[in-house]
Amino acid sequence: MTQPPEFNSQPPEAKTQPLLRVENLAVSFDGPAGRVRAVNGVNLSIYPGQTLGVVGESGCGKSVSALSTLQLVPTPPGHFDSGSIWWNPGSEKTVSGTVSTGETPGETGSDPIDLLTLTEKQMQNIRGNDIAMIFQEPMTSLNPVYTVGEQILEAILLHQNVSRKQAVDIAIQALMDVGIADAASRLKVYPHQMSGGMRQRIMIAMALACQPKLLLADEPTTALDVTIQAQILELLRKLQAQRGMSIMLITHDLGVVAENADVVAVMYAGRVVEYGSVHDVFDNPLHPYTRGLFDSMPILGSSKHRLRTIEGNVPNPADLPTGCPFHPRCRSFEGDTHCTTNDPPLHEIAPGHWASCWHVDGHEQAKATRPDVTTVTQMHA
Amino acid sequence: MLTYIIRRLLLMIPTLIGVTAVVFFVMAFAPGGFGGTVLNEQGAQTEGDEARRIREYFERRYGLDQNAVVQYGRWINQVSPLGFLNTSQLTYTDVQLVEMSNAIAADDLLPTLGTPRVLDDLVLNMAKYQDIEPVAAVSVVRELLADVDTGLAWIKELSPNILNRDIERVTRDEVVLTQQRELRSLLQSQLAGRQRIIFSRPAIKWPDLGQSLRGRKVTQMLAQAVPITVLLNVITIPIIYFVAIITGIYAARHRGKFFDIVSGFTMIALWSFPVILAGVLLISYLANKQFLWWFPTAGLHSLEADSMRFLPAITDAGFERGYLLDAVWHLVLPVFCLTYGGFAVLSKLTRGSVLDNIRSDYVRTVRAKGVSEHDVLFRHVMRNSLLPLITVAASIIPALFVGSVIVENIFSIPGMGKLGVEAAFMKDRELLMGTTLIGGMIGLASEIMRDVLYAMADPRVSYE
Repeated sequence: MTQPPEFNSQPPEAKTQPLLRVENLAVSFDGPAGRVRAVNGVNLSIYPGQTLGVVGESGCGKSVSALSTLQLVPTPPGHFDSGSIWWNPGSEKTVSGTVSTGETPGETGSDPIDLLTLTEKQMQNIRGNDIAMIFQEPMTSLNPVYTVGEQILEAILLHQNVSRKQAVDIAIQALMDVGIADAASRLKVYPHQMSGGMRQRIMIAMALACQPKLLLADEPTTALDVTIQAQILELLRKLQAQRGMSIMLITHDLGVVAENADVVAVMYAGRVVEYGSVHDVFDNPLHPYTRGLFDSMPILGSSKHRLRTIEGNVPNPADLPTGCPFHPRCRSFEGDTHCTTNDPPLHEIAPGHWASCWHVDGHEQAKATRPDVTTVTQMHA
Repeated sequence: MLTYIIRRLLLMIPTLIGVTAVVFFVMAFAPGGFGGTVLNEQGAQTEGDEARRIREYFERRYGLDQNAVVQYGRWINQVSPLGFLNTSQLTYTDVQLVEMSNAIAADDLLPTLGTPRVLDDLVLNMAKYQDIEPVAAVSVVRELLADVDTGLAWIKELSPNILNRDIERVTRDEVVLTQQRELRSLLQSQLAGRQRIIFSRPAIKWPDLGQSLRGRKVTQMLAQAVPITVLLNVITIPIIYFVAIITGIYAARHRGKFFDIVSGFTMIALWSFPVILAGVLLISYLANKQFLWWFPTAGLHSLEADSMRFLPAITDAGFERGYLLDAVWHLVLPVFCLTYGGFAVLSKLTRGSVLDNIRSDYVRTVRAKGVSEHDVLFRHVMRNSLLPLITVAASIIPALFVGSVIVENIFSIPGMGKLGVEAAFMKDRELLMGTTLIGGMIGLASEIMRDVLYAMADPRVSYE
């Protein structure tokens, strides 16, 4: 198993700090085939107000990266092999009215903290409070035996020092923010009495009720109709603009990324293979895998050419190819031993645009550095 | 919801008719038929003629000589709150009874037949049997008694086989009193006679479970047995549920660890161990003077329990355990036998259910909200995991009532199980039908309870 590329792991400096910085994250799982590495040396960073789109096929480690941020990866069978996730809430107080027990570093001070080193108890203060998460399956992600209201109130009462009556008001406001009419009466409704789109709105309301700084959205629209998808994404954009929060948008839909993300991280086999601002990556995809993804997308209006596919299948993480994990499927691969023996690190090919490929022009001159893009370019910003 | 419960309650009626019919006809067509064992039990000590007389009395008294379908119909009519009165259910007003007593006195019957009480019963039975007014019955009895010859002839007519020997043996000149005594007893038994259904008297009445072949009222017998079985279950079920749920949750949290494996192994092993053997072994080792004489062998109370104070106390005579402790002491072994096999199923079910839920999407959402592990487990996972246990409870409650048959027999506890088995052995018709009916009602009621509880616990289930 190749080791993730080593960077010196120091807390980033306070001045230019991203909200969240994932460094060399490696997570593996015990399975019937032995220990399998699902995430192998991922580096990401998210700045305040930024939307990071994480794209990739199923099983490439997108969700595990997000779950690791909240320490929600079940251990066992999961293991954090290496890496750190620096969380830097900034000097300002994270959330007004937060129950600050003083146990969680970073809630009071401005030093970045490594989320992976926090205890379960400290993590509970972060989850849902500073960092919230919404999931792919709105149908099953709510507890069927409690009303929507009880589930939203639970989060509010947990993290905010308010009375139950105030919490109800906050919950109603949260429901109104996500566009649910008649919010007060909706609090008394059970999840099974709502449609998928409504439940996803509830999930978002629940996640945002405590005004988190970062929202991890794990394929929030995958299970929804296209029209509802558009509504939910529009809603997320609107709420982000209102609150200036950051979003980590995990998806396998390039269209969703193009419309919503500022920065794109393309993942393959547990690695980030390309990283850059959405304009750089979409205008000038560097990695053969990214190019393959774009080639396989239909373009509206041009029916002439056949879509090109990426040959082969996603590799089994228990049995990754040696060297570059993408080389058996790669169109640029010409049988050179460099590709089959050495796993390419991320090279900064152009300013603010990274790719990990031995065949990209200019990688010889480029330095292997940790990717870091600060742009907040979307029109909502 | 209310309409649903009412509908379910009404649906119990045809189900209960089905249950009782099956039991009734299986027993009725079994060799010997109803009552056979009771009759043989008593007939074994008597001469052939007398045995036949007794048999005839029973058959006549209880209608055992009738077609099984007719017998079942009679039983249904007797149990049903809506039906026709039978002769044993006729009641007379106080005024009528006083009139009757006056008529008896006026007719000067007392000297002939002894105590007023006996005469009252005789006349009353007469009235019921003939379905006539008590006062009119007095004159009928007087006529019968006016001439012993007439009386004997009348009885002979009723049952030609009975009295030949007696009539020949006892001459008129010998002892008139003997004749009168015999006549009186025969009149009583004959006049108590077959319970006829009086179709001219439809009525709304209390269900009547009738009378055991051994003479006691079935309701009375059940009223003694049911509380004992309920007591056993009230102790047993919470123990089973408490232990099983706790171990199930703990095993799920530590899946694959030492506790999980050991508790699973132990519970399956206990579950596999037959209660009959366990009971006998426990008695012969723990309740044996030659080994460890820690517990009593049988029963629910010591013989002297009634004279005990309620709570344990230390008196001049030393430690006195008192009524309560005495009962507990007697219950230890039976309750152990009832509980030890019940853990496995519920515990495994809880464990599987918790494991299912703990990996579900909604639990991930709850964790992502920052809820503590304890609240995740006991507020969210528990409530969802216990839903299947409600379903199982409905099958466990009636099963425990039946399952206590073995334990009640081994430990000689006079509960429902023992009563039911005795009824089946004796082919005691009314008693058997009574226990069947109560057992069936408990089973069906617990199913309704399950459905109602389920609707209360799971908002997705609704009967509107």
